[in-house]
Amino acid sequence: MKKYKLIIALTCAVLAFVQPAQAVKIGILHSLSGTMAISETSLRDVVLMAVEEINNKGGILGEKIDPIVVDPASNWPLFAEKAKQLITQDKVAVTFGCWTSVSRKSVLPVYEEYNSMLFYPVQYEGEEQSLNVFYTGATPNQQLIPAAEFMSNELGMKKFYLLGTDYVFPRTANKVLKAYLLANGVPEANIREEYTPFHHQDYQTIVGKIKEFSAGGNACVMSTINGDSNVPFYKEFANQGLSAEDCPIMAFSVAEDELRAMDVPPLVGHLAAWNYFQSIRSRDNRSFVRNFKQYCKKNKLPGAGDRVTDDPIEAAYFGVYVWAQACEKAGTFDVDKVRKAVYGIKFNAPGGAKQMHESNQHTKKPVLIGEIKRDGQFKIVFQTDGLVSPDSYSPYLHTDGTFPDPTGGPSQ
Amino acid sequence: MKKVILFFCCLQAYMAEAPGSLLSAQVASSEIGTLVEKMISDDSKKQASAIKALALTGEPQVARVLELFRQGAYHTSDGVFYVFEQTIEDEDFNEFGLLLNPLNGNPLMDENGDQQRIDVFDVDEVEVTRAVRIQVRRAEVLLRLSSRDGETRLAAVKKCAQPPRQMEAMPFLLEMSLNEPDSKIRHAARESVLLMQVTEENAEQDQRSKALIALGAMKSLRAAPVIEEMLLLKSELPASLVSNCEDALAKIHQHQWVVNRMGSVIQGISLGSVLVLMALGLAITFGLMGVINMAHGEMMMIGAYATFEMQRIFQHTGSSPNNWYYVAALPVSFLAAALVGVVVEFLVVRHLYRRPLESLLATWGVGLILIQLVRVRYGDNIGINAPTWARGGVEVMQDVIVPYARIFILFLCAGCIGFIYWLMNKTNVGLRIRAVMQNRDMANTLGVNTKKVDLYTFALGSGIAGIAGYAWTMIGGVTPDMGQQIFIVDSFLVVVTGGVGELAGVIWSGMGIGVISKLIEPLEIGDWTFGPVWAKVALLAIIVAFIQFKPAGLFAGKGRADDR
Repeated sequence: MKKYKLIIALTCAVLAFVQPAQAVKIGILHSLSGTMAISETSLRDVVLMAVEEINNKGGILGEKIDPIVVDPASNWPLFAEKAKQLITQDKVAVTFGCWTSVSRKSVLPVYEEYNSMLFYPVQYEGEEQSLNVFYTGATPNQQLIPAAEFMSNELGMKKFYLLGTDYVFPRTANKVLKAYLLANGVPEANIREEYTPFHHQDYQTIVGKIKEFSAGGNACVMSTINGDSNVPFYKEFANQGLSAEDCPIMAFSVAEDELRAMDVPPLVGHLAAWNYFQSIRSRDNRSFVRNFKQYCKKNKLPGAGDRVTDDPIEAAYFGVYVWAQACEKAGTFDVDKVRKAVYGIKFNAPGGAKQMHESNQHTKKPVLIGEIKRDGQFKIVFQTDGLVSPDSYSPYLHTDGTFPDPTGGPSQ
Repeated sequence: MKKVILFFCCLQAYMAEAPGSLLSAQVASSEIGTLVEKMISDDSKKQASAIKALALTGEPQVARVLELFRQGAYHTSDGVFYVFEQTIEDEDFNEFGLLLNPLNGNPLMDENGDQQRIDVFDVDEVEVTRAVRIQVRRAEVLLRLSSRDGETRLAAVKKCAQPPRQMEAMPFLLEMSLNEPDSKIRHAARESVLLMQVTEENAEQDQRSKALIALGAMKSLRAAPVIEEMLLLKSELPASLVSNCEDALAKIHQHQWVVNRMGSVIQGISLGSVLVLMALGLAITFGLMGVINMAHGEMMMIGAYATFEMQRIFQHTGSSPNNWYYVAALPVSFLAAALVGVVVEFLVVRHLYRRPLESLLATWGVGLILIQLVRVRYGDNIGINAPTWARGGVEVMQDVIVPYARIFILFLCAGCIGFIYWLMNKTNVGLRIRAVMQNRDMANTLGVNTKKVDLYTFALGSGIAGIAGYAWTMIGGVTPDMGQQIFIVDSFLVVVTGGVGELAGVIWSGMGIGVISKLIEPLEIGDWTFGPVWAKVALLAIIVAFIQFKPAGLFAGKGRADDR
């Protein structure tokens, strides 16, 4: 370990002589091809935009940021290889990356082995707390519980159809939701759970079942359907004559970016729960949206000025600023010192003021519920008072009150 | 208008406590204005009474006003109200609200005929608390009963009977159940009335049991959960009512069973038609020509993107539709995919006819190149809005709806089969294609230009795949790698099961796979249901077993593969 640090120091020293201005390298680990490219390319774009903004203001600690972009191609083992390459060959100070939980699980041992740092920007199923990762997306309690509360208390829903893609996030999310609903007096018979494989396209049977389930009214769908399955699901739902009036869908994985690929008018009135919407009305957010669109237009990225911002995009963006602010505070890029500086740090994100948690690596955020409008944006219909503190481990899953210790961190 | 007045009379009779002044005359719009102003005020008591009064106006446009208010579309600046729901951006991405009339929600125009706008930062949103939102929702439902739009009326009719039930809607529902012109809504209104009577615990037992018998006779699916709930408290009900409940429930369950089975079969046929359409092109390029065409899915993708391109050219969007794009996209998607097919055949496939395994690798590579080219040009995230006539569906029997989009695909599929059948059996080109398929060398000797025929055949297969991609845009999403993710495996499955080299095999196996998988999916064994994941597993197991017994598939073909 010592030897390794020495090498870094030497390289830096050499670089200092070679280059007129010093640059600190950061890694960007998002799939630019394959299944996940649809979501992850936007994150690369916004991280690069944040880097450009920081560089224009003079960089961090007098050093410019030099972003290294790699493409793990939606291939989970390749994520680990590329992460290792970023850490050992490119010697990055920090990495911003991953979308799916399986990709994060794949790189986790690498970051823990080399005691490097990863900023992970997407809502996920929780049940993890590595000292080498900062999670800027939501934990289940920062998305699911306020949504379920809204459904039952504001819309008067009595029956819940939990529908998801068959992998770890929906399964854990539904466990948390179910535990919450049962604890709040919803009888087991009124909760239905169902999963579909990745890329599932034929939702005829399921929509038929939802119709039967919701015939008596006061029923809703809580959807953790992921990726390209959403389009056929919503299309079938509308075509079978179901609307948000009959049975509203509360989605946890559909944001503005996903709505770009959908036929919106039949979806008006359905809901989504996030920590950020493009429609948040504040000057900070407006200039963020404007800058992102102008950045995409200027760099001739696909979609250009039609691009939208959404929750993961905001989380990826402010992640860079949190790291930069923590480096300034710590006065160094050293992982262990920066980590300490991140804890409890307060910052202004485009969606409003937020704070990193004092110890559990996650982010304190507000929870917002939005209703889909005809123009593909969300009308914010509910917002929690203040910030919701993240649970890295859900008390609904650890009923005995004991939680695992965090993993990773500096080697002893 | 007649309906509105009628509504007043009903309400007057029903709601004795309602302030008479509001109901005495037709409500002038200025009166709505004062009410709206009260609703926006800070005083929660004033607010509540204003919402109630607005609900009683019976003006359908007021429902829109309430909806806008609930969604927080009302804004103020220096005591003036601005209402906007949608916003637009100028070229510098500044955001402006498009102004609406606060009294009816219609767009406000300026003298040039453009919608008036206001910078969103010049106004403050009027906050609406949850309690108020809940109140407003109920008021909205009441007002929507007199909406001009049938769908809205229908939804409101159903909503009234859901707990917490809106008894104040009863007289109007009664009226609708007799005189509503739309039979579907009339039926729903009657259902709602009966549901409300059944759950009215203070009502005469005679009335309740009559309502139960009527609901049973109507085979009302909406009543099932209500009756089930009643039966949970069996001991508190009189015995005759319990038996009424059980009779009605039995009838409804029987109906539900029929609906589910009918639904499964129809869904199976629909899925089958999608599968057949997907596999038809492959049946030509793989089945007849013997090319293990891994780029088949990409040809479908090309067809889908050609449709997207047409949507762009015709400027069709969800909110301002131009359905002609979909008509134009049919030939364009065929030609685009066929053209790509021609290029691929000319550059790659033609050199590999006698080396099928290498054609597998080469076409896979071609597929990857096509995916990346499209991704660079269009990005990963595009949306195709189906033509407006494809929204919704037709009710073929009570409670079984077949979406128009799926009916269209069924007919398109039949059309494609007919076209290929005609081409193959009735035309000169088809004769040559069949000749080359059966014996390339002999056909060559007899003067058939086999190279040309190969080119045409491959283009035809690709073009048909393009049409499949075109049809897919109606029911599914479009991404550059949709071919690999969604289509290629299923297409090969259908062709191999059907029998390589026989077009009829594709039809039977596609339909068979579709129907069987839709019959398996809802199956229940005790508490456990198959669901989509296990249905797929079971289906693959069935196919594997089937191939064991009939290795050549349903129909043993006479394709080029037989030469070797």
